[in-house]
Formats: sequence, C-alpha cells, structure tokens
Amino acid sequence: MKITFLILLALQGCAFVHRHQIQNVDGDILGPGARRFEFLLSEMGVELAEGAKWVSVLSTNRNTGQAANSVAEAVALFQMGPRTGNPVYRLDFTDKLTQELSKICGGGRVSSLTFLRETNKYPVVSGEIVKVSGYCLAGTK
Amino acid sequence: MKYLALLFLLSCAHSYHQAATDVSLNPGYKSGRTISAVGEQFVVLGFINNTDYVQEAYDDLAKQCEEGTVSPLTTRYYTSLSFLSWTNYIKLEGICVQ
Amino acid sequence: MMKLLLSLALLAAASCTHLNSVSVTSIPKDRSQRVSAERYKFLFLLLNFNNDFASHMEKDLAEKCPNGKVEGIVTKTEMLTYFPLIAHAYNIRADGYCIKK
Repeated sequence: MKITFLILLALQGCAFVHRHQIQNVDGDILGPGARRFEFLLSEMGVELAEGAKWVSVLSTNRNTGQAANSVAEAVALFQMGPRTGNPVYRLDFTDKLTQELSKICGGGRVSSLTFLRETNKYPVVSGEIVKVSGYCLAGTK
Repeated sequence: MKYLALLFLLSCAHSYHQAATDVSLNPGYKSGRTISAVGEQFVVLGFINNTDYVQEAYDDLAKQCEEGTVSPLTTRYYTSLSFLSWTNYIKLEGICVQ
Repeated sequence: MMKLLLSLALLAAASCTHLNSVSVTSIPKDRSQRVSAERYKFLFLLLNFNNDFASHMEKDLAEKCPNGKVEGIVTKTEMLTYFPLIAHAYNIRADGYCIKK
C-alpha cells in the first residue's frame, strides 16, 4: 500500500496548465523584422498538507502518523480559499512584469502577447510560473 | 518553536491565480508615470455575492490617469488564504501616458 | 463480475470537460473572417512533463491572417477526462476575427 502511494506521489512530477491567454495577434509577427521573446516569472509553492500526508504514510510510529494527519487537517482550515496551484509565500515575483514589458523591445512595438499560468509540481513543492511571450516589431505604431 | 514556524507558514500563504498585461500603446511609456490600484474583498466561508472590488480598483486606476492612456496595463489576481476565510486581491498597475 | 462491469461503466460515464480558464480581448466591428487555432495534448495517468504544446499558438493565428490583425480572441483552456486517473487531455482553443489592413 505504502509503495503504491509512493509511486503515485513520485508520478506527480507533472506540469499543469491553469490559464492561457492570447492578446490581439498582429500578422506582422511573421515578417523578417519580428523578434520573439519569452521570459518566466516564478516562485516556489508549498503544499503543507501534502507534506503532512507524506509524514503520515512514511511514519512507522502510529502517534507520529496521527499527529501528521492532525497537522494536515489544521492546514486545510488555516489555508482556506480558492486555489490555483500550490500556495506561495511571496507575491512580488510578478512585480516587474509591467517594467519588463516596457523595456523589452527598446523603442520598438510589443505585440501578440501570450500569458501561460502553469505549475510544475513535485511532491510537496512546486514551481508556480507565469510564462510571458510576445514579439518585438520595428516601428512605434 | 516548531509550532510558531508552522503558524507562520500557515498564516501567510497566497494562491496566485493570474497575471496578464495588455499593451495598446507603446513606446510612449518613456514619458509616462507608473500608477497602480488595489481592490480587495474579505470572504468568510465563501459567503459573498459580488465582485465589486474589481470595478472599484479599475475606477481608481482610471481616475489616476484621466487625461491619458494607460499602457501597458498589468492585471494580477491572487488570494491570501486564511483561517476559514480568505481575501481576494486584484492589483492593477500601468503606465499613464499623457 | 456484474458489479465490476457496472463500476467500470460508471467510471467511463464520468468522462467530462472542465473549463480551466477563458479570456477575451476587445471585439472588433468587422467580424467577417473567423480564424482559430487549437492545441491538444493527451495525458496518460495524468503524466505531463512540460507545457510546450501551448507555445506559439499566436503564430498559428497569424498564419491564418497574414498582413492583418487578429482581434476579439477568445482563449479557452479545457481539461478533458476520458477515464478518471487513466486518460485525460488538455485542449486549448483560440478563436478570433481576422482584420485585413
């Protein structure tokens, strides 16, 4: 039983798509003057309840297992709310988004932006990612 | 001590839902100023029947740039998780180009 | 045996589509030419090691509207469940209007 659970946990090294947004697309991005850019903004997510379940499953001591289950229940109560991926403890990882997009094309035009909100999940921890891509076009309009 | 650490970890967790930027005008940002507005909504056990905080944040941002265009405009949406309750936030940030 | 078959039939019937997200950009006046792009990825046992399938969708749209601009884009991200835990899929679809310059 424990081995099955461990295999299932190990298989969780997975990528999830939460949201994908495409802004208006310019046909000029197919031209020779277009340059594609892509950057990631990311932060580590932590799922404490899952950590507690790991402890509960791996523990040979019954008391430890029960304590871990109690922690998992407490976490569920203290971290209530709508979720996308795992919770993070820093919110400023996307603070530079506006500035980054303002300067990324120098004097050129930013076009055809796409935003992918994704999670790279591993046991207990995860990468909470915003992937931004777009094109720099020559000219200002 | 370990309980304090656990409480700390429990008390400041956030769920990050969305970040996106709309660019309609550039590169006018060079002469613009950065403006921002935050809308928030405290929810207990999901009992809420409106999302007015989004419109309030939008109106607040628009008021800060009445004579110009806001571009690029970044929208961030996240939730601070808490004990049987949570707070939704919408954070709008842009560059006001006159 | 009957119970097992019934359980399997119920599980199979549980196949469904979940809308993860939807986004819309400003809708143009000229809506004469519709263009779309779609990406699909099948997931066995929910295993998925990257989301590269979602990249370059904007290029697909641009290729269907060369020398123009695609506006009013509706992007939907769906999670399809064919058989719980065993067979799933991601489907991303973008529909918009091609505006000729």
